[in-house]
Amino acid sequence: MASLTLHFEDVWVGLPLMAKGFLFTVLLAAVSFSGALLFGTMLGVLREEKKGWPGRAAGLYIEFLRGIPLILFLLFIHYGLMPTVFGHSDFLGSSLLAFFLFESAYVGEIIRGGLRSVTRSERESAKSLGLTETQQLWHVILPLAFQRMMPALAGQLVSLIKDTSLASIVGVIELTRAGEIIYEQRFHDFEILAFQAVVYFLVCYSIARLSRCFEPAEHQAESILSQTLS
Amino acid sequence: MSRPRLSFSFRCLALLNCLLVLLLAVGLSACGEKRTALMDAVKQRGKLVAGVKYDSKPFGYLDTDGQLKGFDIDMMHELAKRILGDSNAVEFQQVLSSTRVIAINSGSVDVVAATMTITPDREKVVDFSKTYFTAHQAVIVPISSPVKKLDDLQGKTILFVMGTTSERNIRSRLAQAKYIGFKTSTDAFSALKAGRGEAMTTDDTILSGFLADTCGFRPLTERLSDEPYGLGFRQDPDSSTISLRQRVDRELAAMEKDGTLDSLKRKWVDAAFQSKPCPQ
Amino acid sequence: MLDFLTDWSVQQAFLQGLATTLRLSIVSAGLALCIGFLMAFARASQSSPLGWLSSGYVALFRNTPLLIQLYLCYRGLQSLGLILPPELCGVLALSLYSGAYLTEVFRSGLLAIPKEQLDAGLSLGLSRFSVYRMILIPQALRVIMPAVGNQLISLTKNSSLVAFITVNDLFYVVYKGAVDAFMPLEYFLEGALLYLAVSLAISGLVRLLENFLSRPMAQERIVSGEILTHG
Repeated sequence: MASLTLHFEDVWVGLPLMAKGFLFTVLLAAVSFSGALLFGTMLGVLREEKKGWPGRAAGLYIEFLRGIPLILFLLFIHYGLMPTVFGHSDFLGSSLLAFFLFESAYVGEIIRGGLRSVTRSERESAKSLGLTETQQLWHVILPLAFQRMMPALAGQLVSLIKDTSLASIVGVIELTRAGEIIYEQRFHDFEILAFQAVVYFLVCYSIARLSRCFEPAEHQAESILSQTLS
Repeated sequence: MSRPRLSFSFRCLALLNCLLVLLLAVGLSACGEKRTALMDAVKQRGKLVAGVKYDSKPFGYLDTDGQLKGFDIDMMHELAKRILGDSNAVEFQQVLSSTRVIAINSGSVDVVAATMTITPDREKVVDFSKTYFTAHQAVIVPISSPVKKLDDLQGKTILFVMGTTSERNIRSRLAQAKYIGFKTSTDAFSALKAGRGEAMTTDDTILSGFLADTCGFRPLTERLSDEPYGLGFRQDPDSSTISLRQRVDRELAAMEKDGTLDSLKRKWVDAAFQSKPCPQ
Repeated sequence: MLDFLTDWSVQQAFLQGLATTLRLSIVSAGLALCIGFLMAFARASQSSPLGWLSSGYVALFRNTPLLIQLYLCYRGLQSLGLILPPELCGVLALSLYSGAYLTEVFRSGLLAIPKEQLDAGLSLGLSRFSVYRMILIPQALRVIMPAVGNQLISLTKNSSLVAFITVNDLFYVVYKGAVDAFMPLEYFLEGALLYLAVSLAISGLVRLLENFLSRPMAQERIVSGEILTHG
């Protein structure tokens, strides 16, 4: 039985490259999530508040993207859509686009849940203040929806950060790919992968913990439900 | 009534969105028009975008500092110097064996220099330069393996890299073997080390990189095929001006004549291709 | 495009991939449901070591990427000399990952039921086990059914990542085909449609199950009502 020696010095050797990769992980998640918040909100509002063709189109978009694996969509954007439309495909650009479009569908569904949680009486009271429908939406309904969906949105951000590891497949040197480069040469896969898992865990767990500060105590049970529903 | 106002504002939003999409589509298709003349695009940009491997020592690989190195990398710097007058006028993008043809046709890159064998099948979809290196498909096995020749591998598990010529070659030679495909050659080699298969096949150049680094493996003497490496380009319909491929061919011929290619081979490719003895 | 659809060898590869994806998903889903169920109870139990174990497990598996978990099992352990077959790694990682999410789903289901019901059941002389089995779990099930369905759909989609540890699933066929045959679009489209069909089928099944569950539920309520009136 060979004795088991771990080579955590590889983590040290690979640290500069993995630090650079980590920045790309953050960049991918931050940029595509902020975009998805905007577009997703629009989709959610369209789907919930608007019954005509825009609502139906938003619904179709959301259902389609929620029905296929992200990795398939990512490769489709990188090798299919970008080249056909742009005549050029760059892996960072297509990863950003794919994450943005994909996350928008999920954010849209969360916002829709939030809009549904706004009760009739809350809507009525907004109306009785004499606000126009647009004002009601911007100043009363959407803020309420956002507040209630904070934990779910934080959960979605955590999912996105984890999902950015898929960008390694198309070749973005983010955290996952950076580590891969190290163990492709030094062959101590376990140590590097364990280190990567710890880094992802620290980031995601902190976000999940932080998001709990935002939620009002009485909503805790309810939000756990909404988080898991998302 | 406030109801129509909501509908109005949302109609505006939706309309705006449609306009944006339309604008985007028009703008993009205009970009698409430009895709014909590769050489012009390169000149305009002032640099070449080259797809290279990041995982195929000694042709293209990242060392642990994240520095890109290898035969293909040096050759592309040399070509950039000769074509654009600046050896740094080249930007590298990673391609895998499995993605390099798509990378060319998608326009992600101007040229692919990634240990790509010139084959009739590939020639239907991409343009190739002249051969700049000839490798051979080989097979390695653990030193202790009872396998002496290729035919001993019937019924055994052979590891290959997806998207390479080696899969088809070995499948037609050994129909009874079992096969597992990997994303990269290092994935396949790790699996061989772990004993997930009895043998691994790809080009001798890449295998020699593994043998030089790791003890305990040996090559079989038989070679399955010649693998002439070429640079890959998108098929260029524009034949009125000199194409990027023709220009590269001219420079490659010059590099062959003045010994540049030979010195690159000496610098990067280990001619030995033999197993490294394990220290006791 | 038509050639592609009528090319029998291509379609056969797709079907084989689909079969692997389904087999893998079903096995992992079964395991994940068991894990989630047990862990949710461990969390709800008064014993703190069990509670810690459960919350630690959930935190760990929910906050690391599935791809890293798969790699750790397949090539991480491989580099330490422990060789697990790729399918086993796929099932392990998928069921542990989804199990963590399902733990939270089941827990929220248990939380959604007023605590008074447990006391009421106990005061009727029912054992804790029977109260859970006859009163609490059936109600919780109905509440969480949609969330469970979502998790099962996620699991099936996530199973596409096993292609990167050499399992020949549906996504492997899509990826390899796109790569070898130089025609990515057709492969991606057919792949997307098949995954979409599986997702739709699962949500349809879950809806059927929801309807089915709501019938015995009504009976349960009558039964418990009878017990109450007789008591």
